[in-house]
Amino acid sequence: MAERRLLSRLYLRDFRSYPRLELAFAPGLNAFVGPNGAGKTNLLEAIHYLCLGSSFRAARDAEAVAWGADGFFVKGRLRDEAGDLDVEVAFRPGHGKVVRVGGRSLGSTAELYGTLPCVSFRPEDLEWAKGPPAARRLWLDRLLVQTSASYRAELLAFREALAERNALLVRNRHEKAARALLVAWREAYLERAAALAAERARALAEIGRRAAEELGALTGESLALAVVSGGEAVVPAAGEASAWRERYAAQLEAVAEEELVRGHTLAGPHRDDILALLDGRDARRYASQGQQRSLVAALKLAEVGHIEARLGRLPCLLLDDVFSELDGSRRARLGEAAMTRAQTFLTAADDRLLPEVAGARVFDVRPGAAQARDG
Amino acid sequence: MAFPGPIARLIEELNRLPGVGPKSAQRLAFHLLGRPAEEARRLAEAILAARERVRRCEVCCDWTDAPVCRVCSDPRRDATKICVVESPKDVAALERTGRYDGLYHVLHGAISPLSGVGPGDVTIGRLLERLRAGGVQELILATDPDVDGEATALYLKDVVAPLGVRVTRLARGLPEGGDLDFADELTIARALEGRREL
Repeated sequence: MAERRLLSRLYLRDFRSYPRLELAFAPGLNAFVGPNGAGKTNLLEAIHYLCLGSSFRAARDAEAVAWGADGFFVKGRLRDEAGDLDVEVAFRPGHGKVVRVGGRSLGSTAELYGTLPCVSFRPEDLEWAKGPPAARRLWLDRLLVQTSASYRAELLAFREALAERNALLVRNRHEKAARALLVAWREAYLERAAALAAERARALAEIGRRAAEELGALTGESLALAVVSGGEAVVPAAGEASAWRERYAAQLEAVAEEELVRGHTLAGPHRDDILALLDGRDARRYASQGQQRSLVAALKLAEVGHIEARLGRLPCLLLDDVFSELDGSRRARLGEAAMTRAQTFLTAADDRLLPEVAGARVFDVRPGAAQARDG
Repeated sequence: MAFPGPIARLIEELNRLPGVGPKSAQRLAFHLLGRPAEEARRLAEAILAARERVRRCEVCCDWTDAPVCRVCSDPRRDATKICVVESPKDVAALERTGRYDGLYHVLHGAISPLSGVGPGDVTIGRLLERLRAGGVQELILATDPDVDGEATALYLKDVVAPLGVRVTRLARGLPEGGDLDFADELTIARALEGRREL
């Protein structure tokens, strides 16, 4: 049995629709029930801040500040075998964001990752297969930064190399840079790009195996995940940095002219896509509505398994209005496999959409307030 | 809170120093005001003296109080080797090992397009002059193992190539005497990449 770290209390000040709110959670299922626009998703978003130091919406921190307030404050009390641990996220526009764990300010948000691992499942995730590549890359990054410190470090180093090389390409448009300078930054960039891609491919292979198992149990379909780089599908087991380096070097060669014109790096992990093959067919093109839903349910279960295996600890689940979207076997499997074991936070428009789980705590949510229901 | 002019100015100046935030600046300012005037004068004089007397060595660009620094003017040093570092701190670190007997070259930075630092903003031109003057057989690149330091080393390797000097790079690896689980992830990853046969 994996260790559990639970979110036992949540305290909000001036966060979205909540001027002030304090909630105590159950170790199992916690359900936020209320009409649309009542602020249910805001509560999941606040919990996401405690997990990853940021919103799961494509939102800037300033947007989470309550109207008219000068900043927001989110605090959570985590409880495990070792005792209590407080996580705080404070943000003030113009002053930036401060994340504290156990009273100590973190040098960077990245140090928070993995403290309270989470898997979120939101309506947008149902578009996983057919949505834009950026969403799939973000999906994988958000998972891996929580489970791998070396992935976090590689991702930061890659982003730095990318930003430096892009700055050089932009400058080069105004004033021709020396050839040696362009070569040096291409080499330095390739080094970081290849290291990141190799680590990402290795992790994707493991997650792909878990997802394939889950999907097999759900629908009997076969599933394979692969990276698409330069229009070509790469078997994720190809986790050698040297192979990635050669691949990206060839791609950069092909776009060299265009890069000089556009002032932007056009090949690398930030341009790759992730591909799901369902029974050998590209899900981006061929997956039906039902297949997409099964695929996402399998991916979410694989995320839970990946986190549990890597961290020895179950993640908390943030299910935004999607439980009702799943039916029959998908719902049963997600419910039984995850919710009965992991601490779960879910939103629903009304009680009929709630799963039957013993010991669940239901919160009635209305604008600006949420209250635990008796019983 | 508004402080009287001279205090506010002192806090502002201290706040400009690296690693000194507004709160530390305030604490330092109040500390200085609470000590005897003599102490403050000694500190001010030390700052001024260092600033006025210390300059870059005409050869290697390290800080020195003479036209040519002690390392560069020491006849026992091996003038066929030059070790390139980003900052004077790095020279001090290498000197502490007592294992390097060659000369240095201090770049005073690393190339970073993002920060607007190009090859002309560090002392690469001076380094090339030294190499062209002849006598150097090995150039040891000891820039930091971060993205900027790597790119600077790669750039130097390229521009130095026509001069026929042997170019080497410091090995990357785990700190000696440290526990494996205490090293940061990237150091471990790099050490793994750079593993060798035993």
